[in-house]
Amino acid sequence: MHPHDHGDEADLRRVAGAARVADRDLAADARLRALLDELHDGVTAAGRPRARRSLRLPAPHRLAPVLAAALTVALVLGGGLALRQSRTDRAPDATSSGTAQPGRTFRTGVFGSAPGFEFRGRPGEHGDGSEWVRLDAPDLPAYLGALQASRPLPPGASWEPLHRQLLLPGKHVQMSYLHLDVIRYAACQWAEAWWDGQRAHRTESVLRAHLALDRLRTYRFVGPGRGNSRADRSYTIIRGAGARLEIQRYRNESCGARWRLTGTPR
Amino acid sequence: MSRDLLAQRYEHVYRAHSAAILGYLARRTEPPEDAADLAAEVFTVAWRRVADMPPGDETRLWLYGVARNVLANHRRGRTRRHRLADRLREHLSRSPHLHHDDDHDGTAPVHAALAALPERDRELIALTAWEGMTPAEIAVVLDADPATVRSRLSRARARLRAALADQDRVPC
Repeated sequence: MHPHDHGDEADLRRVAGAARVADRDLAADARLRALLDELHDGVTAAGRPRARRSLRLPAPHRLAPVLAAALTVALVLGGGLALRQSRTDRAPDATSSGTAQPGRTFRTGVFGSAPGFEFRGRPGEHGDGSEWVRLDAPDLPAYLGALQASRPLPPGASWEPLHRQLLLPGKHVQMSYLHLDVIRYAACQWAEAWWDGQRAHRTESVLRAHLALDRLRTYRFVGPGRGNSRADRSYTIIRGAGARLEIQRYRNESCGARWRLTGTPR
Repeated sequence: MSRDLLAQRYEHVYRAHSAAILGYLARRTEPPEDAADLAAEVFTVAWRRVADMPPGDETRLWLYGVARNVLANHRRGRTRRHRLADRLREHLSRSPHLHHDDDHDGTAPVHAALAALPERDRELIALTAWEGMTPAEIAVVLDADPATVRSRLSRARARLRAALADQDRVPC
């Protein structure tokens, strides 16, 4: 510890002594160690590590001052970093419409508006020609997982709340809106991380969130439509060039308590 | 790095720091057995991102950074229950280390003084006193400038001194 006067050290010792539990007590608990070993085995069996990211930002106080200033100016003047174009997802083609086995797969073979499958959205939202998917199909989580795998969330964030909203028994939603909600949800998580970084003055966190949001600003869905047609729609998630005010507006208008799925599962 | 090497690295880091990370979480959650789900989340994130782990002692500090974010989400009501952590949770719920009476062990005034501090001060004091971190280490965990951490910590210690003095004046 840094040298402080006797009083300060005594205060810190009092606080240390008041800790609910000391690490040494946990480490000495043999049963606890066994349960932690069990957790380790479960975690490593359940998932797999991602490949190392090619872009890593050094912590801001390790950047040369000139570089840090240049980066800041670029963000302010440019309204955000445009390092990549928006992604386009292509939904899997149907081998033929109407051949999906009921109850076995998320594919229904029903496209666009059909009796019993009319789009329900908020004012300004419109249905499209994309396929309706079953939200309670056993293969849908894996499909969602594949969509989500290329869209990492901030540390500590989880897809679970979105899954709880989407994976509903007996319900359906159009494929394009399923994709769109994955994108919008990820954008909300990063907008929240951006906000937390701003409040805590964590420059690196803000930069990381900016990069992530830049990749989520727009989205294009391409998928099979009725017959031989294609459903091809582009969406703007965050208006403008992704600058501070626009991220704030997105967060305030679309995230947290304002979060809603696009279209209503039916 | 091959998957075997990643797994070895992860196991080494896990064995070295899992109890400390659990302790960090257990000291900050109510009830303390919630720390089981949070620890499972921290180490799930760490496994997923093992290829990005910084080297050396920064790994430990990086883990605390992940734990801090997981804790923040927990406080915003965004925690997922991990079945993997059920037995750990049950053990923590019965642990005498985690469940004891503040009034009988004389620590109630300290907890009251800490509760009177702003959250940022409380965390700086806690990382210093409970996790034994230096200001430089705290700066890495909080992703902040070391000089800023030092000056904030100095002010936090002054506020702690005043809060403890207030509590010590309160008749029992």
